Amino acid sequence: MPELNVAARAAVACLPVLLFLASLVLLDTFRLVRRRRVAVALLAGGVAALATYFVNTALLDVTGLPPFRFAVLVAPLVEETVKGAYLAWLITTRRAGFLVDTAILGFAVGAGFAIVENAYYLSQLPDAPLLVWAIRGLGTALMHGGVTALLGLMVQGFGERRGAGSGRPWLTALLIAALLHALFNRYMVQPVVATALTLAILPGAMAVAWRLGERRLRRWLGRGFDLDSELLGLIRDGQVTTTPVGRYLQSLRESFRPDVVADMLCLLRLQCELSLRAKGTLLLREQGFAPTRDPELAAKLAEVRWLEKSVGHAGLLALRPLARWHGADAWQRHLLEEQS
Amino acid sequence: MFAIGWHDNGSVRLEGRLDAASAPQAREFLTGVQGICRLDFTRLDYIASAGLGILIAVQRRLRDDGGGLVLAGLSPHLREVLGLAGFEGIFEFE
Repeated sequence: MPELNVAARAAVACLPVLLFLASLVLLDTFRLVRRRRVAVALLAGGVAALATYFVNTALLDVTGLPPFRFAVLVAPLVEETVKGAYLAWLITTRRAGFLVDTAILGFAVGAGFAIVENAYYLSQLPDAPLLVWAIRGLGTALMHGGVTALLGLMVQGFGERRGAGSGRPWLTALLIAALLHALFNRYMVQPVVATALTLAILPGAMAVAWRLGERRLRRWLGRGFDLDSELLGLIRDGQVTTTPVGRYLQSLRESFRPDVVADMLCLLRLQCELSLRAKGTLLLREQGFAPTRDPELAAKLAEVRWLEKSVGHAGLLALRPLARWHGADAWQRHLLEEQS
Repeated sequence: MFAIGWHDNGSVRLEGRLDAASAPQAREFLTGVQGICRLDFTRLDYIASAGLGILIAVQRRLRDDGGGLVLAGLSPHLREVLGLAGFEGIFEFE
């Protein structure tokens, strides 16, 4: 029954990484990542695997290295760079804003990569024993997912101090991820040991990242909601001029036209309203509720875009100390755009 | 200073500031409520997200048993904040 054998091999090679990914999605208390985004990340990982195949084939010819040395010295850096490209786009555009969603999407990219890679090897080595596929499924595939998730987690962690968009956190994280990948490949001469180590370390590392990520998210959620609520109250009651926020806005009148300062205040108020909406959504999702639909949401997001244009780049920079719509908060816009 | 207790009319009265520090006290009290429960916010000066989180969790539990929270006497600002946050269809307001 050759078909059954191929199906069993494919299942052993691909199911563990998909089950691990599914468990991460289920553990996402705030449902930060929609299933469609996970599917897109899996696809991006598959595309990365195809791209890497061509790059590695070309580099193998250019360097002339024996395959095993190439797998330790060159391939890990190439593969982590290509897998990290989609994650880089997600993080720099703030489509992934927290440790938890970054870990899920990073793992999904790595899983997509591993599935395409395993499919390739299945086509090349259809008669390899089941143990080979068990090692590729439980070891290599989980390593690919785990290392890419770790790459994203490190960028988010290091980036808190320097800004996720800056280059240094990326370079450091990429080198560490490539080093871990290279160590795994190096110890593939003892594949059972490498697989056992992956199985021993990965769940614990993810559990620590999860705990840290949810704690940070709760802190951001709590503080942000209270600040937005307070600022909105001050703006609404017309008391904002007596506060440090108001005094700062008054000082901007020396540098900006009065109509631009008025637009800044409108932008601040709208950002508060939308931030409350986004954070309220997460508070409700945590308890399994879906927020009521806001028919004005799309119009409010359009108004924010118009006000940002009206205020201009210099105005937005001047608003940075007050605005609730940059850094981790910028992620909120994507959440709301999904809802509108 | 925060206080929570039963009112003569059968509703639960909240007083003072329901913030992160007083949230455990509110959680402990509200763990015991059942069915349809009216919360009187008239004397509540401030509620932080920690307090709102407790209300949502209590609402989840009560709804699963066929009950729910009725929020009464909210300040216009708090009513607006709850509306903006998308809590309109979750709680009943009075």
